[in-house]
Amino acid sequence: MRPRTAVVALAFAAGLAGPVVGTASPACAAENPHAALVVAHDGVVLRLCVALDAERVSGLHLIELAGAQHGLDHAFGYGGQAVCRLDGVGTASETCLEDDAPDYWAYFRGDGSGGWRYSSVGAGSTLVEDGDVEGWAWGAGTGSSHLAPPTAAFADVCEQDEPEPSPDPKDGEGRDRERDPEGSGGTAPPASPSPEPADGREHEGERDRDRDRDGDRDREKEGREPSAEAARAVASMTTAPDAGPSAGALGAIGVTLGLMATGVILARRRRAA
Amino acid sequence: MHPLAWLVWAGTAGLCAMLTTNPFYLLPLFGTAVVVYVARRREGAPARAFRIFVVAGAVAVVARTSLVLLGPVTRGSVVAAVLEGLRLAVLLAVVGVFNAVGEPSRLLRLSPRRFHEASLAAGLALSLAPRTIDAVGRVREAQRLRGIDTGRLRSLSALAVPVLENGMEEAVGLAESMDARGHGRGARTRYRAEPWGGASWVVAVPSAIAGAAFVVAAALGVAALEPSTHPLVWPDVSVWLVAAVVLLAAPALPSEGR
Repeated sequence: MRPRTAVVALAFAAGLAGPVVGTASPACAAENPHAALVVAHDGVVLRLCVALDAERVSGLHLIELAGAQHGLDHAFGYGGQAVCRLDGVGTASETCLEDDAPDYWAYFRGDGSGGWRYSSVGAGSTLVEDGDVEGWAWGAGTGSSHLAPPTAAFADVCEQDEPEPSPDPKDGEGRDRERDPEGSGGTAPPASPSPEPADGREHEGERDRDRDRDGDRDREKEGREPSAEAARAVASMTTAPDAGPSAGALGAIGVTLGLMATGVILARRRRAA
Repeated sequence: MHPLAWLVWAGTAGLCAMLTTNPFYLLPLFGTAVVVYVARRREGAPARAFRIFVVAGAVAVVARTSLVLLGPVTRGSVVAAVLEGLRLAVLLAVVGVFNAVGEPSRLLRLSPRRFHEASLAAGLALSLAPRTIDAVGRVREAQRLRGIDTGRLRSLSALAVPVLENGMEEAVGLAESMDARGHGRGARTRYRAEPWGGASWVVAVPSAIAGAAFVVAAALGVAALEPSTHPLVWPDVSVWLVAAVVLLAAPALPSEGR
């Protein structure tokens, strides 16, 4: 075997180790392009001001940016083309639309005056620019029959003196998360009384009461509707900046190089013999 | 060494490659294939053809990656395409190794009578690439002796026609000689039984263990056999599976009586 083949294989390994992971979150100043992202599910509404890393980004990339800047938990499926999970709601699998049917994350685009237009184009093909408002709502139905997120104007979400968004979601600034008592985005009936800790789907009541329940909720398992604090903690853990290749990965690269070297040595010995 | 042993090795190596797109398993697997090739290849044309399989693998990676342009181009989709191309390249390398270390004639004699013609065709197909390479070399030299430069495009026919003719003649000659030996005519005897000795165990047992490890990991859904590309993160790497891949290099160990 020629050493040339070894070089080709080394180039393979080097090329695959190249992809840089993790996006740096840019400082949120008034000059940089920003877009508003609204995520609504079961009475919970997230309003995030997301700094764009280019003049135009796709709707999917906006979610990734929100994940980096605000710790928004997200997962895509179908080869990275469909939004499967946001803020812990939805199954993170390749076939999530079938798994969670009839519920799914419906994609809305702001019409410029706070209202919403159901998008007929997938988020991988849309372009989000400075000042745009993007919305995602969990539920069933298509088009006008699907519940839209609550009205949101860009100026409400991205205020002028926006503080720098940090990956630590516990500070609560730079993002606006509230319980929507009208339940416009959710399936919960608005008149229900305080729910038992076991039922994670309904959130009514004041913030103080929520904070009391937070202690219980922190111990709940995933798949239930977590409290604000627990959700932020979970989000920070799942979308935390990547730690880099694991020791096993480096070991595998070492093993590969060792095997290639062995091959070269054996070939030389064979040729000499 | 029993010819089936190499089939076991190639089958499990191919199975492991099919089960994963994790580059940290695929790259050591490629290295394993290279080591086994260098250590156990037989002399002759099929061994030289291994180079072709590696080149075909590189072409597969490039082709699969360029298909990404058909859809949205993101870091994740490009990486996913490269990994799928890499899996294909490793598969091709495994086939190339099998071609270079296995003895298709001995393997052919073991095939059940029902599959005799099919396995005969498969064996001949595998030998097509090396035979053609040899023919091209011979024709090129013969034409150069006549003063015909076969490097130019317009003299392509001076190269292609003799090679094709040669292929036809070889096929006809092969058919006649096989016919004379009574192939496909009924009862075949097992004149020389194939031995399954220690050397065969050295190849078969580690392959079986490695294959079992990958199958178990796939069934349990662990060890990041299909790493996530959306979001793009460094995949987990199980030391056990890397060790299993290294096990597949066992045939390269020096042994007596090859």
